[in-house]
This record gives sequence, C-alpha cells and structure tokens, in this order.
Amino acid sequence: MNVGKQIKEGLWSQNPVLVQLLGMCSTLAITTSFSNGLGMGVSVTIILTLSNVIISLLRKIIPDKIRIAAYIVVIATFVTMVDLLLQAYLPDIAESLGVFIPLIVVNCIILARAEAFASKNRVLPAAIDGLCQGFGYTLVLLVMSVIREFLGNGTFGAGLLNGGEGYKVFSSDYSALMMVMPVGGFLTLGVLIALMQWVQGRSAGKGGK
Amino acid sequence: MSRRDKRPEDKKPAETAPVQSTAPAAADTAASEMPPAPRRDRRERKEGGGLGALLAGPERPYILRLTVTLFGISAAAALLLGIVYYITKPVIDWRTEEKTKAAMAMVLEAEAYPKVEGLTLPDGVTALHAATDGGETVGYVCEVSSNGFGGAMSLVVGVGLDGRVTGVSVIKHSETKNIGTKVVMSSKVLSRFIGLESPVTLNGGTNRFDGVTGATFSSKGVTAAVNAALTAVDAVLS
Amino acid sequence: MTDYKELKLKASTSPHVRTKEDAQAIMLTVITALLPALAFAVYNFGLRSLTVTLCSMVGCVVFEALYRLIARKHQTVGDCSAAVTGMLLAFVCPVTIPYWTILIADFFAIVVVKQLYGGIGKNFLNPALAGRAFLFSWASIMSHWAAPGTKAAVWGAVDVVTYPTPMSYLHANDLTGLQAVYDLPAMFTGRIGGCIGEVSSLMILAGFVFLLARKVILPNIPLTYVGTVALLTFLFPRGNDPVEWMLYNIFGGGLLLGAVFMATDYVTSPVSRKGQLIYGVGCGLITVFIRYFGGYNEGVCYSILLMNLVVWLIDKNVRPRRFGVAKTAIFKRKEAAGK
Repeated sequence: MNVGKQIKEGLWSQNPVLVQLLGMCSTLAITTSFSNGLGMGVSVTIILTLSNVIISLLRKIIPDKIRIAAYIVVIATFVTMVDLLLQAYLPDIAESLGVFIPLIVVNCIILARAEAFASKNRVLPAAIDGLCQGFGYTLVLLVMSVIREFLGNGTFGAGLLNGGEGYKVFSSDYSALMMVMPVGGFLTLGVLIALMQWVQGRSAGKGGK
Repeated sequence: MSRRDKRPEDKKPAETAPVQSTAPAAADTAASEMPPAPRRDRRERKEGGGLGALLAGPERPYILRLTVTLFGISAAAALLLGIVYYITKPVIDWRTEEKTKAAMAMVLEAEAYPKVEGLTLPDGVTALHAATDGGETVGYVCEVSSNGFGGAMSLVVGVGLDGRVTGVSVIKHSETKNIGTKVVMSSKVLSRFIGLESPVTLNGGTNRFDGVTGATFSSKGVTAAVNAALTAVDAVLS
Repeated sequence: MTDYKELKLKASTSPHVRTKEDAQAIMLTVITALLPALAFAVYNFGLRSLTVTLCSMVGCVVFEALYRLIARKHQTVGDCSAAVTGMLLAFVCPVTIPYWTILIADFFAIVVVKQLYGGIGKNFLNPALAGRAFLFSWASIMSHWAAPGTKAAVWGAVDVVTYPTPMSYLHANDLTGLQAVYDLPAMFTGRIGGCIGEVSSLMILAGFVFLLARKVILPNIPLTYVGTVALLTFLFPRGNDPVEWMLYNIFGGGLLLGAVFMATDYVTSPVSRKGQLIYGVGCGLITVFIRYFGGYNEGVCYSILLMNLVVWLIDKNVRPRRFGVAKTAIFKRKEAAGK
C-alpha cells in the first residue's frame, strides 16, 4: 500500500475527471460558483470514502452476480444520508446544489472506484483511495468553479467569501454570461482536459503531437 | 474457461462515461465461490426452466445466498436511513416553515399565516393564506406561480383587506441575469405594485405596472401572477 | 511524322484546366459586395461603423495568423476569408459595441469555430454567426442599438439612447407601432435602427446583384430562404395586413443580410442545387418559427446555425447528378430496378 502513489494518482495521473473522464455531468453543472464546487466536492469525497470502506468490508460477502445492485444500495444509502443531513443543517448548500445531490448516486467515480478498487482491496487502502480520488475530483471542481465564476460573474468566492457575495473583480456588465451556463462548462472542461493531456504527454517523454 | 462467468458480460455500470480499470490491485481477487459456469448455463438453455429449475437443482444454496445477502444489505441500509430520517425530519420541516414565513413576512407583516382551505383558486394561485395578527385577519398572502422568460417562477403576493397589493416577492425563478432579473430580483421594481388593485395593466392605463424595457416576458409573468392573486383575494373578500 | 521530342508534354495529375479564380478572388468579390452596406452604415450611424468593422477584420486576420503560427501550420490569411468573417461579424453587431467585445467574438469565431476544426473548408458552422451567437453572453451590450442618424462616438464611452429596432415591434406583433416609427421606404433604404450591416435592404440587394453577376453565388439559397419567409408571413400575418406584414418582415431584421451573405457560405451550405433549395426552405421555416413563437426577437442567426448542423444530412441524401450520366440512362436503370 503506497500512500504517496495513491495521492499522486488521485490528484494527477489518474485524476477522475481530467484523465479518467468520470463524473463529468456534475462537474459541468455544478461549477458555477466557488461554494457550489466546494460543497459538491466535499460531499462526493465523503460518500466515496464511506462507500469504499463499506464495500471493502463486504467484498468477500457480496456475490459476483449481484455486486452492482449491492454497490448501488450502499452508495444510495450514503447519498440519501448526506442529502438529509445537508437539508437539515446546511440548507443553503443543499438548495444551490439542488437535484445534483441525489445524482451523486450515479456519479461514475463512485461506482468505478467501488468496482475497480474497493472490491479488490482491504479496508484501509480502499479508504485512502476514496479520499485521494475525491480530492482529485474536488480540485478539478474548484479550478473550474473559479474560472467560470470569474469569467461569468466577475466575482471570486461567491457563496463563501465576503458574506456570500464574493469579491467583485469587475462589474458583471462586462462578464461573459455564457460561462456560467452549460456552454461555458463544456468550453472550460474541454480546455482543461486538453491542457492535462498536453502536459502529461510531454512528461511521458517527448510524446509529441 | 470455467471462469467464463467470473467478471461477467459487461463492466459497464448504469452510466455513460467509460470506466477505466486502473486498480493497482495489491490483493488479488478473493474469488467468489461459484459453481462451474459453462455446465450451468448450458443446462439452463436446454431446459429453459429458469428460476424453477434453479431452485430445484443443486445451485439452490447459491441463489439463496444471493437473496439473503442482498436482503441483508438492503435491510441494514433501510435501518440506517430510517434513523437518519427520524433525526433530521423535524429540523427540515422547521426550516421549510421558517422559509415560507419569512417570504410572507416580506410582503405582509403578521404573526401567523394559516392556510385558507376549501377554496377554488384561479389558475396559477397555489395557496391562499390569511395573515392574522392576534387572531384577526389583517390581509391575505397568496403563493402564486406563473411563466417568465426562463420558465416557471413562484412568487408571494400580499393583499390587504382593501383589495390592494401590499407587497410582491419572487421566491424562485429562472430569469436571465441582468435582463429578467432586473424585474424579479429588484425590490424597487416590484414595489411598483404596491397599492395597485385588480386588474393591473402592463405599461398602460391608470392602474398600471411599468415594466422594464427588454424584460417583457418577465414583466408579463409577474403582472399575471399579481393579477391572479388579486382575483383570488377579491373572491374571498366578497 | 510528329517530332515528339519537340512537343514539350507535361506529365501531371488532374485538374488540367484551371481558372484564375481562387479563394482570395472570391473573398475579395464578397468584400466588394459588402462595401455599399458599409458606406450606408457610415452614413446612418457615423464613423464608428467603419472603425468597428475595420477593428473586427484586423482582429480576425491577426487571430488567424497567430493561431497558424503557434500551431506551426502554413499561413492562410492570404485567402482573405478571415477578413470576410470579420466584416460579416461586425455587420451583425450594433454600432455601440465596445472594441474589446468584438475582438472576443473574433477570437471565438476564428480560433474556436474555424481553426480548431481544421481551418477553411473544415468548419461546420458559419464562423461569423457563431461569433454573434457567442456574443449573446453580453446581452445588455448587444441590445444597445443606436437611433438612425446618430453619430456614435468613435472613442470612449458610447452614450446613445437605446432605440427600438423593427424586430422588437415585429416580435411583439405591433405593426401599427412599427409603422408609426418607420415607414416602408425607410425600411427599404435603411434609415432604421439595428445592427451595422443589416439595416439597408437596398444596399444588400445591390451586393446580391453584384455577386450574382460575378457568379460567386447561386440564387438558390437566398431566393428560397426569403421566399419561404415571405410566403409564411403572407399566409399567417398574425392579424395584420398580409402584404405590409410580409414586407416589413422581409426588410426588417437581418434576413436579407443572412440570406445573401451568410447562408450562401460555400463551406457550410449544401453542395447540390436541390440540397440548397431544401436548406433555404429550412432556414426560412425556422426563422419564422423563432420570430413568431420564440423568445428572441431575431431568428435569422439561429436558424442558419441550426441548418448548418443539418447540412451533412442534406448532402448525404441529395447527391448531385454525376457529370456525364445522361438522364435517360438513369431513368432506364430505375425502371429496370423497379420491375
């Protein structure tokens, strides 16, 4: 169990969004403001880690034939728990994340990590894997949120800093409204993936074009 | 070959994105105990008996195991969820109530807002509440929904006992930023409704609401909602 | 006997017969066809129309040159297609547009829509219209139309009172209101409010005739497009006088500019003549739908973009007749197949 390797993989070389291309639906939809991105990232990390732990604990018990059904039940349980707790104690975040909290159930990242890692490894590695992949996901969400919010709203840190308003960098009259709409999500994500591929291609040793 | 059944047909979860198996699997698969696959499948196909044949045959413990495991997991999950739900329900209900009360207080200040039942409400009005101060009705508050530019929006309209608007507040909307929001998010613009009575006209006449240029659909939507509320309250007052 | 050695035969692959006309010549013809509209814009809106257009053209050329440089490909600015894109993009913007905004639209149109897909000939959307659609992001800036006859300031803050355009009246089905502000002759000559290049129907028609005479475009698409809009607005005048309503709809909005210059773009319109007819009808249908039932005032931009997306389907199903195959041969083959 190499924690350093898992961290590097989760954040960079096997980044769930930019390299494995998982969980893009929520990435595109949520990243319109800093607090949204942060809230979603933390929620997914928690659920991912918890479900990885449980599935790893149960990996010898769950028969192969029904493993998808079992994983979904476990994941859905945690998602519902997180949803109820958010609605009760953090209602602002629950409202801005809206329907995307229940959609975490079908977030590819969680199911993929359950299938690829948690069901084949012991509890502690699975938990660390969940944390690392979750951090990688959260990192991408934060980067995209900052970009889209800055270009689309002219603010930084909306929902969290400056009493919820965020620091106004330039007036929203000059901001590209499209960036906080789905168009902007696709454009930003595309550019980020391209950048990632380019950097990884270079470091993989003169891969060239 | 007998492992044909091991990681069966497809690895796709119920999802569109491709899953890349990247696991640096330190531990090998604790292979699930499985009956020899090909023989079983062939027999299934030959007999075509399906579940009945399986339950009768030697694979019965396996089927039972599937059922029991899934049942166990689901039961544990249900128990856990039940506990969390029981804990959070009162908090959630309290929050919803507070939010509605706060929205209503913005348009018409009162102590309580009991709902008036048994009315046939006009199109768009979802609920009619009486605003009571110490038991006496001081006005009415309507929850209305109408269509703006970006879709449905829900508002709260307060109407006094004289049939005139006391306040308008938009709770949920999907209007375009900097265009439609100039109407629905601006308390200054919405306060132009105060004092108007049924029916409110848009941009013309004496009893009018001056819309915002370039935000016609939003202005129309809000006016329609206010008119629906006024109609509903007028029906109650008469 | 022929002395073969003196014949000076050249061995090469086809084509063996070439014309002098190339992409650059065609683009320069298009620019010439657009000049009357530009001249009228300067007359109607002031010198700023010229500066915005020039800024847009220069921006497009620079972006294309920079992209080809960074991507280490051969330079293509010589074919002037970027200049035409810049000019058309400026023509569909209001004269009050800030310079930085039009440069952003230039970047999107040239780099994202055209170059990232492979450059000229490989884009699937009209770059100028896609750039204009991208500008809907800055909706408040893009709705800031000047009144006809105002001279907008070339530098600094452009302080003009927003004036309604014919489309805002037409969209709200307010023909009487429109007639009070602009009468039909004004609509035709172009003393109206609106975007830089779209106001003057007269000048655009002059450009159309010029392009037809130089055989740069076929009349298929413009005639079917405008014809469909005319027919639909005549048949369904929304309670107004059919002829007046139809004429206001034809001269108002960017219909003529779009039909003559945007929809006829070689790259993004169908290859076969029959296909072009279908394309024109489709554009007309969608334009009328958006104008009648949609939320936006102007339907031309999106209708052409939407039809661009379908061009591959039209091209796949409507093949031009192969050169050299006689019509009777096809008929006989079809008969034989049918038996």
